[in-house]
Amino acid sequence: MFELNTSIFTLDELISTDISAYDAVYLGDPFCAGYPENLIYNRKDLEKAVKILRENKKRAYVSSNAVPRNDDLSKVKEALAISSEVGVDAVEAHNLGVLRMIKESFPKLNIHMGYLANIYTLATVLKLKEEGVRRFIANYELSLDELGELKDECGLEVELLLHGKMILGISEDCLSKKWVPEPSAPGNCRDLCRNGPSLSSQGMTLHNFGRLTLSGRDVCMIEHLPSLLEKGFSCFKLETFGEDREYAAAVAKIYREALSAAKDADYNPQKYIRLLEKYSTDGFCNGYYFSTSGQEYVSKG
Amino acid sequence: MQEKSKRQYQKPELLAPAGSLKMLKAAFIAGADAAYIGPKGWSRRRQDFELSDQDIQMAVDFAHGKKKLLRAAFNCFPMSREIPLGLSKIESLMKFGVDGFIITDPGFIYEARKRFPQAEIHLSVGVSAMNIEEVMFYQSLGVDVITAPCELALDELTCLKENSPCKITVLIHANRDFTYLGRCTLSSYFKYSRQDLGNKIKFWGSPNRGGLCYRLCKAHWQMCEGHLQGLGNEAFFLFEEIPEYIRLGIDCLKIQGREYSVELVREIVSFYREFIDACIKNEISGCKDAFQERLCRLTDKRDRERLDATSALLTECLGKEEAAFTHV
Repeated sequence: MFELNTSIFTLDELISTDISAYDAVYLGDPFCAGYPENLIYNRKDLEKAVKILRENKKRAYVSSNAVPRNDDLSKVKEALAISSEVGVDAVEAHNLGVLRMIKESFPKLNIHMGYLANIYTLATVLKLKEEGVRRFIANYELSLDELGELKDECGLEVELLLHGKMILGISEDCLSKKWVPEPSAPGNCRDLCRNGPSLSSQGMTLHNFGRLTLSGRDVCMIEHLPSLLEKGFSCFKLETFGEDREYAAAVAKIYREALSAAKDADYNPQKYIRLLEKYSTDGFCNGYYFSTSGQEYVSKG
Repeated sequence: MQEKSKRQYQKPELLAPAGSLKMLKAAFIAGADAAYIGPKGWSRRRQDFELSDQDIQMAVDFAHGKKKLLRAAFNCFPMSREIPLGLSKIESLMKFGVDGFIITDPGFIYEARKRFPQAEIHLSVGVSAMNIEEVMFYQSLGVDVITAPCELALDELTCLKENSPCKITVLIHANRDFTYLGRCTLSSYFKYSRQDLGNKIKFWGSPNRGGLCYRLCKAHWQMCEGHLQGLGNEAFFLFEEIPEYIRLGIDCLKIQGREYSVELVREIVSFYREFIDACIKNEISGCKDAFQERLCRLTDKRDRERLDATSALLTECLGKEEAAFTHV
């Protein structure tokens, strides 16, 4: 048994994405509170989104503001109240202050810690477990060996990024607005971040997405599925925000099929790699899973 | 009214970097109230700027002889299995007399608090604790003093001051990255390697994991339709804000720069010592321009050192000469 999940920021995106190959969806954009369609803050849309997921027998998680400032906290609390009332399967917290708010005000909500919580050590995970956390994504810089040890020793679900762009940084301000002074479609900042500029230096490409800096290359773990399953990992994330909807649907279908086949002795990832290549513009990498620099790809081949 | 304007405020502590024993002595002689060092292997800097146990003992003795304080920075995220080692390290440094510990990892903070109820624990700026709820979370782990992220405005600091029992340290000389501190892996995305130092692993390329940052944000970046002179990573000296921080009752004003020359640190400390004292005595109105001019000259010196350091890091990372962009 495994879970394939992804993040979807708005109701429109959910409706236009074929989610059949996913088991769960993280709803809402934790990185930007600047548009009303963001499912985190839009009760009407969130109710519809959760209903759609339920009808399709998918689990519904809701994210929360990843780096809230003092002025954002009341809005964060309101959003948590909505999630609690709508009845979601879990909320995702990236911020330890948000974790504290959930524990104090909405103790019945299941809590997953998101990537920006900067989780590096077993000691931290055990403390988070004490606080009621059920699942976490560790900082990408941890290797698979470290993640395996962490999982075995803490007894919580460890979510892994299987495919997609890595978040390399989050900024205080929207860099898309800063770097693209005259957007092609003024007023629509959703388009602005979706079409954020690519940056290149030293043969390396990065993508800008609003406040985020993303890796140019897509993490691709398709070759390594057998060892991931063998190590007992079962929660897998496909990072698809900012990608076109065909990417979100197709990559999930490829991984679902591959995960089902990965236990077979004659598992051959090459055909999946060829399929995935269609959806990658800057090539693949393995992040830090094998203790290399994030942009390297470690082929088993 | 006359009396009010002459009111004296509580004097904040001036905290200086000590990348070496020589820098420590210079900083104290220049007027720092406290200094921080990195124990070898445990801080966010190269080992050249960290101190051995023997040097730490000498540093404590020197500090205490002058009635000053010494803190040790454990400001990286260690590996899980290194935390027991870190706790032993804290224990031995406490025996030396080290007065406080600057820690980043939440679990490490929690373990240190449980084992050393009397230790003074400072939250590193590397976690970027951005809001009051987050500060209260760290307080519940056992933090006594928080180091406020550079992004926080005065009203945010006021809120933290009024609503948390923690003391507050503010960075008056540091740099602001294009990302929140501790939330960037651009350097390790490009280059990342691990080195076993015996009983501690350093991950070069990852500032979070205690290795150095190659400052790729300072390289030339090509954007689809243009050119960026670096993604943004600017050093700052606070000036106008200092009197406001003093009025607010900020407990500690911290200068970063363990990798600077001893001379530059001496000058920075000496500048802030005199400026803070003048602010406390309410004597800046007549000499503000002179202070400002002095700060401009210091800025030039610092930028030259920083540019050299950035170019060296980029060259080390890329294996070829690469001019870095440094903005004033």
